[in-house]
Amino acid sequence: MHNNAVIIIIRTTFADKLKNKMDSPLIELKHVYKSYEQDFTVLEDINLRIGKGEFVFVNGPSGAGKTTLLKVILCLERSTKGEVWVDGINLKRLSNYKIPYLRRRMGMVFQDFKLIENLTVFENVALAMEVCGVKKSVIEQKVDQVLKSLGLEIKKRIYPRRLSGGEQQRVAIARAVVNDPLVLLADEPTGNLDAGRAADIMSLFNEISARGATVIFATHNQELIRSTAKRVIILNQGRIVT
Amino acid sequence: MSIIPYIIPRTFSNMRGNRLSHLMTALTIAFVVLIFGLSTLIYFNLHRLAENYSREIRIVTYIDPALPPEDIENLKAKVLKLRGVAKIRYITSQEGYQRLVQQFQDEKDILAGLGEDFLPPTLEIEVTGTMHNLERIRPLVSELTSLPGITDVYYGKEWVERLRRAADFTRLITLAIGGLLLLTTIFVVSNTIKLTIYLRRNELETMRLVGATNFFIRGPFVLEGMLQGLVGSGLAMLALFALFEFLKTQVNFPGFIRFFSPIFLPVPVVTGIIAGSIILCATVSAFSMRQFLRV
Repeated sequence: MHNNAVIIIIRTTFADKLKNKMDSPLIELKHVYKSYEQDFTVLEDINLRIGKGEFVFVNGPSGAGKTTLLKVILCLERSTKGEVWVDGINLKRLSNYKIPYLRRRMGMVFQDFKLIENLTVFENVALAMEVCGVKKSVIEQKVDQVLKSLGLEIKKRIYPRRLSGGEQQRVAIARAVVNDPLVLLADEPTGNLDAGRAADIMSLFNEISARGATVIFATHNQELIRSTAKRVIILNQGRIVT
Repeated sequence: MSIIPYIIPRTFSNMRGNRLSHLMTALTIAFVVLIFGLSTLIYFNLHRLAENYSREIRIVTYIDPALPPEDIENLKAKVLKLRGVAKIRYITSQEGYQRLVQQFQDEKDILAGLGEDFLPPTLEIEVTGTMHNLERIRPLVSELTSLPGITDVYYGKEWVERLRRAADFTRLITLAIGGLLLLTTIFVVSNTIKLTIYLRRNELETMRLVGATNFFIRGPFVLEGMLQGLVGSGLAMLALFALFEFLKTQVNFPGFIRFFSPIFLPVPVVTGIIAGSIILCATVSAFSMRQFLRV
């Protein structure tokens, strides 16, 4: 009887915790400020909750703080004030030593692709798994699978400089998703691409989101936002407008 | 799951990408280690030479010729009891003269007119193994000098001390060169690493973004440093050995050391120099990376 009571209590506590976790947002920013010098504030009192599997646009003019917001979430920058939570982890309390492990659970795509010139397409994508110490055989299988899904399998032995802008961005996306991240952060991923290529990349992000990943897509491209019906966070001079 | 298999190939690919700079670094290290090794070699052999001569030391005491035979016996007993005395031999004036006659067989004129007892009787003292150090012989010599009946004490102190001074001076030079080695290596290796970091800054940035740990990023650079230390000091030791073998056949050693055959640095010393260079280069590489390895 006594044992049963203990089991029920444990079950209840576990269920509560699970429910809390399910209810709590994947990413939460509470009164976040980021300033580089005393009078140069890039983010000001940012409050934000993004749920698991959500697709969110971060929109605003250049210099509005979109990139800094993504950097704060990826822990490339530490907030000056306020709390940033990612999957239940308070980044303020996260030691420098643990940051790489957090980043492995997130993927990031940049406007300038950030591909390594002296590595082939395959090696660029594989790097994200190599840093995690994944076995070579597993890497080969997974990278091939991701490259295939992005239509890059015939380019795998090619160096990035021989690829078009759209192809390079697809490689960058492949690298960002190869570890099946919880969150995919994209900083103006279509900024360097023409309208047709941008639409291709956009549909790729939609596919990734449909598979369950949370996507935060920073862009100043109004056209792109108008073409979808997703949540939009508008930043202006470091503050959330809507 | 291990990142080691990825760090080693990355090291070699880094080095291939920056070949000339790595070659120059290895050659600079080789040059500095060669100078250090040469000076260590000279110090090592001078020290050996001084040690060898110390071992040959015999203390010769001159005894007052007027000392009665029973006092001589007492004196011999006292000397034998002194710390560090291994063996003594009493040489009478006549025995001493006979030795001279044998030594100057071909130039007997030198001894003409000298009586058989012109030399004072002497005590030849052999010291124990632990007394070979000059610092330890000095107290024994002063004790001998203070004994009544002993008029003079001689040992080959001038030569041995001169050799020791030369060895000490060489040691100072070796230490100074060691310091120079340290500074040069720090400067050259850290600059090579910084240049490599600069050339590969985008790659390192990307690695940080995808979640590479500092160990993953730093590993190839530390390995590069170790390889530079190994290649540089290895080349230096080979060059030093070749130089040593060449000089051995070319140089005629002057009189008193003509029977001394110099030897190359022993294996533990060579291993120590190489290991030291490897550790130094790896440490410098690791420290040069520190400023880059921010969050």
